Amino acid sequence: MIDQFDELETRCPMLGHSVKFYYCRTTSGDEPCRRLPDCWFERIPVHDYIRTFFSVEQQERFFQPPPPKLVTLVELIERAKQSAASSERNGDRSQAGSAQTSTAG
Amino acid sequence: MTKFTLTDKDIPRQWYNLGADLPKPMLPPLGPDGKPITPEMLAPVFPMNLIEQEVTTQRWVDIPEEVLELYSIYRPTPLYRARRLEKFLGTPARIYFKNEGVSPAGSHKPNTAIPQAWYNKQFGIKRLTTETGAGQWGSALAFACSLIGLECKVFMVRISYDQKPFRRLMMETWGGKCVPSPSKETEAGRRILAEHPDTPGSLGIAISEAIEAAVTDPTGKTRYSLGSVLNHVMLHQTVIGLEAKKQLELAGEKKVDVVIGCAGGGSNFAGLSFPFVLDKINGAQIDIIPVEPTSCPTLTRGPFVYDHGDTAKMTPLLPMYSLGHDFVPAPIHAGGLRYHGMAPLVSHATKLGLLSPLALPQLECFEAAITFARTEGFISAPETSHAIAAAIREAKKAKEEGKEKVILFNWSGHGLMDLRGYEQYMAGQLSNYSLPQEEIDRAMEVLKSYPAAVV
Repeated sequence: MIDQFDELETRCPMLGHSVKFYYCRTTSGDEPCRRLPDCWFERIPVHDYIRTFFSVEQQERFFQPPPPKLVTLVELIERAKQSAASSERNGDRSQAGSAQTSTAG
Repeated sequence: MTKFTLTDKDIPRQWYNLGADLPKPMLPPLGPDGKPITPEMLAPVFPMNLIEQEVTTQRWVDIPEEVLELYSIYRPTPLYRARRLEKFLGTPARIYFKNEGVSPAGSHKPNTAIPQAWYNKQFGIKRLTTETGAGQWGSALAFACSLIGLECKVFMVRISYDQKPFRRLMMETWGGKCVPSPSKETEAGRRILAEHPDTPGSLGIAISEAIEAAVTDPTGKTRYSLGSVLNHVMLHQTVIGLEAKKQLELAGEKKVDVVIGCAGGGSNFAGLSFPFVLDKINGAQIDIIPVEPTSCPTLTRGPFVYDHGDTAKMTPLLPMYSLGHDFVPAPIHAGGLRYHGMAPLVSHATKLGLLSPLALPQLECFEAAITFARTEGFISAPETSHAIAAAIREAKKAKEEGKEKVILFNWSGHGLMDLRGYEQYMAGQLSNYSLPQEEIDRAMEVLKSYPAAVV
């Protein structure tokens, strides 16, 4: 039962208010918060829970040392730039597409 | 006297950079390509004047006159002697607290929000973006932007947006635009919403949105602002400790024995303590204590790490704490241990033995906050209650030892937006977060029926 602890509450040290376990295990859609083991080890058998319900890749993500904040920022900057470039390309394509359509019409 | 106040002209004229005095310097962080991060890599999100502060090796950094003028709205903040708390505890210790809750935003956060907004304005920036959870940082930045004349857009994690409407209203009152994250305003937000329309959001998503909003602004006039962790944030916060030193002199104290602050991202702790860490480096005998919750410790136990028992990854994953454990996995060792979300300067000073981290349980912290409210009157933020609880522990220790210690802690913010926690504590609904053994056994039984992940 992946949802067996869902109603338990704790104070999220990142958000600064109370959250349910359900939030911690689904923070980013299907992805749990990487602090889940740090925040819940006192209350539940968190190792077993994680081993049981999360993939090895997810487990490894949990237990990798977090990158320094500046590194995260640089990665996010790059991602944002790529995303913007990709949108621009798509936008250009769709504009080109509509131009062709209108010409044909 | 109970309250030690300074005048506007006594606001420190310089911030203190602990990085200049650490016995072992911090190594520059490496970027994704394995090479040191350069200022140019950060330029899309920070103005160069703040990037210079991030990497400065100068011990003292001048505070601009206009920032001093804006600081004077609420600075110098008062230093109180907690005489009624001392009497209640029957301690020979003299307890002082620096009241950072008097800022308009109710916490220490404007100490960096104001200079960040000012430096951005100087650089020609028109708009700042940021992310926030419960809204303490978002409201501080919205306040600062309103003073400086910048637009402010805050991506507030959806779950917090729904749970904390008053902080959102504070931001909007100061003219900030607060949007729930994920939003439809960014690619990152739209992508998440497409996959998970009902997601409650996360700080990770919110920061992605805030960065994207800054990076993709075609005018180039938007930058991003962060309220914790980074070196320049710690730098700005040192105004707290520098003032406290002057005020302790006013109080007739020749030395301080214990300095305490709660440590989440590290900024309020660093702000009070770093000027005293300098004294410690120079030989002063001071216990400097960052305090964190036992429920999610980082400095005291380190993050959990999983490691394969061998480098070939043939054996199962082994869970362990990376601190306080005999074995630290080699990759972690080599990479340098880092703490979740903690400022690198605080992490580094801890590793150098300059700080003595302490973790305290929830009930002790709430009890301390109630005692503090009923003796000194102020209702503390839940995070701040950790510093109070540690100060009370130290005062009791001084009583046992019969020593007249001087204890200083940072009262980093009020808890008037957080009364739900007090309600739960007083109703007996909170516990120290440990499951009864039978519950653990029951859960273990359930888990046994599932196959363990295969490596």
